[in-house]
Amino acid sequence: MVADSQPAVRSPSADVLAPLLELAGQVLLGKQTQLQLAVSCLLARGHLLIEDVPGVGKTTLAHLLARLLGLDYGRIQFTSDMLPADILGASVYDRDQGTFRFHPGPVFAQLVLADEINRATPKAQSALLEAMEEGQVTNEGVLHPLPKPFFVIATQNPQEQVGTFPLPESQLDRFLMRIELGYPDPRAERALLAGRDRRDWLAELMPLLDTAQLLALQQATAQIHVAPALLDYAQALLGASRDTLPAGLSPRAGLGLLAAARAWAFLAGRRMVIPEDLQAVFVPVAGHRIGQQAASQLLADQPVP
Amino acid sequence: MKDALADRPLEPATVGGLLLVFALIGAPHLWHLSPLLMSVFYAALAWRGVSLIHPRLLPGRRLRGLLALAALVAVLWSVSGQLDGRALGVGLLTVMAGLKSLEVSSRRDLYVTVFLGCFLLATQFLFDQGLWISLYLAPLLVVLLGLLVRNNRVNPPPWPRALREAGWLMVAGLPMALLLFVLFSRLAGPLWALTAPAPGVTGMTDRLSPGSVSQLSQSGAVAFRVSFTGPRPPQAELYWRGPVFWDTDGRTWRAGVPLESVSRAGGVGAVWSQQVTLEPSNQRWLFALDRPLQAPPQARLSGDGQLLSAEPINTRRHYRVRSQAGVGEVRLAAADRRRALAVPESVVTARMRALVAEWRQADPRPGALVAAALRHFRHQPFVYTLRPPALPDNPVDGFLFETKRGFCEHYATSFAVLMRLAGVPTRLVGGYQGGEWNPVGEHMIVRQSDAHAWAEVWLGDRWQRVDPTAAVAPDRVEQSIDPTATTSGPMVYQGPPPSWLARLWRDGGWFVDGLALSWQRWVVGYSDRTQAGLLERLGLGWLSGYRLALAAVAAAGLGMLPLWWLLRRGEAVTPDPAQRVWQRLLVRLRAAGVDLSPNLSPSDVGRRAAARFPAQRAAIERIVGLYLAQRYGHAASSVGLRRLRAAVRRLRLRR
Repeated sequence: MVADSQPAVRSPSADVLAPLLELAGQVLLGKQTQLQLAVSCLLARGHLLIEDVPGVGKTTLAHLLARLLGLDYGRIQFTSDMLPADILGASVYDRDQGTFRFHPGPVFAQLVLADEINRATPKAQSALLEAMEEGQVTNEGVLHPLPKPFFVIATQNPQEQVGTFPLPESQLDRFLMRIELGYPDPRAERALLAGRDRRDWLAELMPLLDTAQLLALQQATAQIHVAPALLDYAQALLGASRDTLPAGLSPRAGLGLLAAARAWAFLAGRRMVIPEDLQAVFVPVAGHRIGQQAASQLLADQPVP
Repeated sequence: MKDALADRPLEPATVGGLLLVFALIGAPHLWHLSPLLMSVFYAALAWRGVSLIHPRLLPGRRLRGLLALAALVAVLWSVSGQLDGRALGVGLLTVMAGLKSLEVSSRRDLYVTVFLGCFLLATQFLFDQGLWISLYLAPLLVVLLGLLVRNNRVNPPPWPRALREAGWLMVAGLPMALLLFVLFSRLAGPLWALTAPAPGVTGMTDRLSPGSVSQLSQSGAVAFRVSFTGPRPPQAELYWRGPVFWDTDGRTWRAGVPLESVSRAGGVGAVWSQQVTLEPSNQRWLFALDRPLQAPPQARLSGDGQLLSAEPINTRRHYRVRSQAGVGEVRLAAADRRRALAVPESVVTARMRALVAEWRQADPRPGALVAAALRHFRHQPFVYTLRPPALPDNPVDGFLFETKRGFCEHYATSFAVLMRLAGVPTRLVGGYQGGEWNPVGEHMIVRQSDAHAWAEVWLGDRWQRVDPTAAVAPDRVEQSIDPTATTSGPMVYQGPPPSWLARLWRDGGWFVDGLALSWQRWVVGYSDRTQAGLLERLGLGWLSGYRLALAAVAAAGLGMLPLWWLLRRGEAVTPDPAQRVWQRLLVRLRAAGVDLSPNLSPSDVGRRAAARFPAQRAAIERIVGLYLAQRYGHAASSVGLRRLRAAVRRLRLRR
């Protein structure tokens, strides 16, 4: 990494995350980049979409982050017969008090794993996505704020699989990043097969951070410097996407791109964003909005100013 | 900065578009260049087109060299023996443009070829500067620009969008073009005035013989267009005066000028101001209403009222002239009197002498003799026709006493011979009579079919116009001849009021004719004089000479301002100093053989450079760090910049 040759001073906050990433890398073998992206996504206050075939560690990744970051964890397994109330919660009549009382649903957790989100009907999907967007749930006219930080990791199966309701573009746009885990390489898989049970291991893990620290890290991430030269580069990429594609990247995508690049730079221990940070997060941020191929092509074609 | 895309291969759609637009740009040359050259041009384009599907058919470097050589020979051979410099230059450019298309494979080639296409397009104006060719070529220029637009994008936009952008670029450039067109100094000399002879031009010539005008009358070609500043003369007064014929051998009359110049009398009546656009005639006569008062520039007014251009008129000519009836010589010099009375003995017959003697006996005054002759034409069964019978031996005698069927020149020449026999000095005048008024363009169209000949007789103190044709066919003077009527019977004049469809057709024709005239006057004919006139009217009369040149430059500068501002806004033109240092380093690294694509981040550039020059790893990493801090950090400083510069300067790319 070039960071090694940097005169930049390592931020103490980023130092906290180094052992976290190292430990996580031991549990989830050979997925260092995806782990970094997931943590960047969290630092950038975005939500993460993981798309892959079942059994490659999507749930493990979510669980792992919840444990290590000390977040309380809620899991929603999406099914085709799911209703919005199953996610958001519902008002139930309390006989003792003679009134209706709101029972919060599983979405009221700091880290929500929305598993197989594309198995649910659009109605249920949009209930979650609206909660993500607003940061609150409205039930019978009463606002119920969601906890802070609030981080959704949604997983979805590849679109070709049977029984899926693909997320429309407008809802995909609410995820900051989409990543794929992929099969582990042979050495990592060997270690996985020979090693101890991940479930037990997860249960033993102790949090390395508390909520206050995490919020402070998010705060620090937003302070990372972005120079005009880097904005030029980001704008060139956005402009090229609009010039070459029928529907290019939205301004929201542009904001997300910068937030993610800040988080990536923060993780690398820099106080400024450099082009390689932008390059590292570009495909995860743009891929689900304009297509993986197109995003890679844009990056390959756009000269660094 | 070097264009990183220059060597990128082209898409077939781009090459196809290029070939199509080349084929269309070259098409008008089919009328100008030899068939050999045009077939080479189109064969080369077709070859490149086929190789889009079968790339193996593309000629190699050596074959291309041979082709170029063969093409050069073909050009030289096809223009050998001609003195037309255009054919050589344009032929060479056209053929080589065709061959160049065989070479087009990368974006760099496309740039060159597009500029070549612009040149090819410009060469069309060496042959024709009319409105239609301009309307034809303008969209092709947009397509050429569209090629550049497509070529300058990483992912070429679809054709409709590229064309729309190119169109906007053209529109955006228009004000600037207009400004330069209006203000740019015009050369009075014939820089662009091409002097190639206009082939196959018909019109009034310096010879008049029976049949020469009736032949002209079959042509609907435009002779000239006139607009009037001020009132328009009545149709019967529209005698457009051209050559004056003094001498005859009895059959053919030759144009000439008076031997002696005499003072002229002032005219009477209205002064008609005309603005004439004359089509090329290869002759020297400028036509004007009977009679011109003063010669326009580059022409002179002869004693008998002919406007003679200094050079034969082989391009369209615009001039202003004022005319007034009654202007003319006050005295007939003795030498000219002899000329105006000369009749070759060979054509005079007893019948003619007898006829003239009869008239002289009745009343020998010139006016009475003229009246007698006209009466003769009117009362005898003379017929006015476009298809007179042939008169091989003595045309005047044959016409007067045998056939009695003729066109204006028959009447005019016979009348002149009779008058001369009777002792009245007479000369013939050639020109045009009448014309079609275009109410849309507010101008008059005078066609070859309006060609006419009439006589002028000396009445002792002045020359009097006498039109013997009018005695036979008074309608001729009021209406135009329909050139499509080719009957051999009596003359057919333009028929009954036209139906609405014919009216629409006629009005459309007028509109188009008006457009073409405006184009000629204001675009092609925009000369140093027009420029001065226009500036005068805009109150900018003091703009002339060097002041005009300065104004053009200043206007161009002002026109550039928005562009400069736009570019500045894009911040693409002023790289920051650190970036410039970095760009220079990239050039050095590329030259040293480091493979660097433009999408690499500075860190990746550093890694590749360090891999190639491991000994310099530390120095390279330091440079990368300094550059990133300077350009992307929040504390860029002159100290940092100096350090970066020094580090780059010290870097020695040795392995």
